[in-house]
Amino acid sequence: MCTSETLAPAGARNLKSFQFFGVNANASDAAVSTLSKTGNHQYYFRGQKYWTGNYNGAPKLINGNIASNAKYLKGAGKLLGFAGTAITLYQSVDEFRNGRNVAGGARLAVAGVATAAAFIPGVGWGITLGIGLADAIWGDDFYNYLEEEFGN
Amino acid sequence: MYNYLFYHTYYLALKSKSNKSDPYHISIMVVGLTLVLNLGTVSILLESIEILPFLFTDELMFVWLIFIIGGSYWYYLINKRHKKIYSKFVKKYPTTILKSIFILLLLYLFNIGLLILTSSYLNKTGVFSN
Repeated sequence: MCTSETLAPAGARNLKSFQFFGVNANASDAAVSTLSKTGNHQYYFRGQKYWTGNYNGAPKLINGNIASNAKYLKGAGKLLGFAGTAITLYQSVDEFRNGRNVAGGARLAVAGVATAAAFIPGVGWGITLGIGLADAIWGDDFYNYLEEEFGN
Repeated sequence: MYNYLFYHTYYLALKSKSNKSDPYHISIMVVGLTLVLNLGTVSILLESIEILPFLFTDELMFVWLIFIIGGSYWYYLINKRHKKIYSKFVKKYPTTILKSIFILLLLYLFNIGLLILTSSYLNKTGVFSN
């Protein structure tokens, strides 16, 4: 995004970078010219002055909606990760009940790894979600293979 | 036990980069997953002593999961109970990262052990084979 003369400093809020959350470019540009308050540093990008930190006086569209939309998206991703792992664990109970201990153990291990992966900085919840999705798509074949290969 | 589990996960979440901003998600997830294991174990136990049929069937999966996930979120988020539980437990049981990891692993293994024991009892295998 910052391909021209000046690169935005780390952590700075370039309003244009939030367009994909539903804020159109015109609204962002208009808002930039009316912003008053500062963070600790300012920077210039394509001739416009930007500030790090919070923008007091920015329209709710920018300061409020962007943050809450991103928060909800993040929350929904985490909820899906939770649901995927819960399904894996739920099915492991049934595996143990049916005496398929290898498949049950494998499902428990996958659920454990998916939970622990959520602690990986940055991509953790994405990995958890990915494990849940992969488990839903290929899980049964994989666990059946393990049971046939290593089970009683 | 669930609040204790919640507290240790919450503590680890506050120390981690990925969960610091909303530590309740991962904490509720760990409690919810433990609930899945424990309710499954109880269901197998009730089936093995012929009180109730097995209730964790594929047909009822989404009912159970909505109940468990929704119930966990409701319980911990209503009136910001997650913060109250954390501040209560942090005074009562001071912990460290390693200690919390150890306790979580121990509880996870304990719950798995219970599940394996009850399913062995139902199938009359392992230590219950005679």
